[in-house]
Amino acid sequence: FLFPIKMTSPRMIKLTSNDDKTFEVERDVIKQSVTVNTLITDLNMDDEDVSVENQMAIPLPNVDAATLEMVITWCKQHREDPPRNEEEEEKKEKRTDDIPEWDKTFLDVEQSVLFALILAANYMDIKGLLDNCCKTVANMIKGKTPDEIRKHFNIKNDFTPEEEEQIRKENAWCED
Amino acid sequence: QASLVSLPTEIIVMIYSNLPFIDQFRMRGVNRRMNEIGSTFKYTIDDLFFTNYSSTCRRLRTPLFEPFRMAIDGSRHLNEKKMESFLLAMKRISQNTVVRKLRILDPISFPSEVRNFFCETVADELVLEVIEGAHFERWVKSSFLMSLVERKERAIIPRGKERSIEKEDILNLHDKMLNRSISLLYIDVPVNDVRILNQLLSDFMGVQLSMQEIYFFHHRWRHYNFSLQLISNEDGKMVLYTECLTEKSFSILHFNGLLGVEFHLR
Repeated sequence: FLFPIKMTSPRMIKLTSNDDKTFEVERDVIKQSVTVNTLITDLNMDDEDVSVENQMAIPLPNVDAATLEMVITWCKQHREDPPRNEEEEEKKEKRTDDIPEWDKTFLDVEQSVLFALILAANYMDIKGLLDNCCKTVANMIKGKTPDEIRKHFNIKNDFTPEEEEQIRKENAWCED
Repeated sequence: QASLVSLPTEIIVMIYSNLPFIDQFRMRGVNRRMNEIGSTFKYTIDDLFFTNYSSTCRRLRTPLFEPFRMAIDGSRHLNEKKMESFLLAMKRISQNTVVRKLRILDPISFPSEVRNFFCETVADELVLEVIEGAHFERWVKSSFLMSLVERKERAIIPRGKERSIEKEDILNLHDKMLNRSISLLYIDVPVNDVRILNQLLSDFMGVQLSMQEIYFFHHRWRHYNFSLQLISNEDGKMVLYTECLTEKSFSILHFNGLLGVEFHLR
């Protein structure tokens, strides 16, 4: 007997960035975003009878196209990751030397891009991406004096002289 | 363009939480916003270790230098001057700082402001250490030690029992000696002379501890990077050897023979 084989293409979801660029992404890839996942479920978008052409695009008003493209790339790379257990994650010892090599290279970008990614990961609720971005920033901060941190991140010192003197006294133990 | 200071507070807190204590503290000095966030951030210090070498130095007739020192999480070593700055800093954040383990070597010998800090600090574990057996009795009788222990009774939380010597008699030490509901207190007694240990045990608890019940604290030496061997000789006495002699040879001598015994009191 020969049975007709139904070729099922992966379910696609459309996402629109705040600069009106639409991306088609596999359902399985974007499920890592809790925000998008919830929207898909709430809006009953898992209906297989609706073709991707007729499907409504999910607007992401807080994410621009360049950042969204990066988020999708990250999600594709991590699609096979086991689901995170947040309780276990909380209990784990905090480390910043456990960023996967692929992520290290991927996140080796200009600061503005990294911070845009952090905001997007936070908005789209992608814990793994947000975690690795925050660890990357933490690694940039480690071992630096407040002055070096200010220089590295181009931050203005807005302390009054009195506040600064107080901070200097309290921070004296940290300095070499 | 997004920048570090423009990030929402909850994200800055996430970044803070990925930093070691010293870097978390330094972040407060960056600008007002970081200072505000750092003033409410929940800090954790895993191991705060205060040492006084003076009594060791006197005993070994070694020239005294920097008698008071402290280490934060086994790596940041502060001399007496920097310790003052640290205590000033801790005043600012003491309400939102948890010290998991507070270890003090010869607490009575420290200046009063440091002793006040010992009393005020909330710690999950309190580890008190003595160099010579005689000190132990002096401590027990000291109102300062009692005060230190009393003020901590609500703060001390039990740790796992995996390293404890589960002896009913030892647990009773609490009632006999301190009469306080201390959840966990370590008293680490030097037992290079086993007689000292046995004397303490018989004096306070009426029991004798066998050599098998003497446990060696690996963790105590971990951050000194000493090469250590624990050897049991023919007559059953434990001898501690170290091959690594550094400029701090006096401290090796100080640690030589410090086989730890943990008394867990509840």
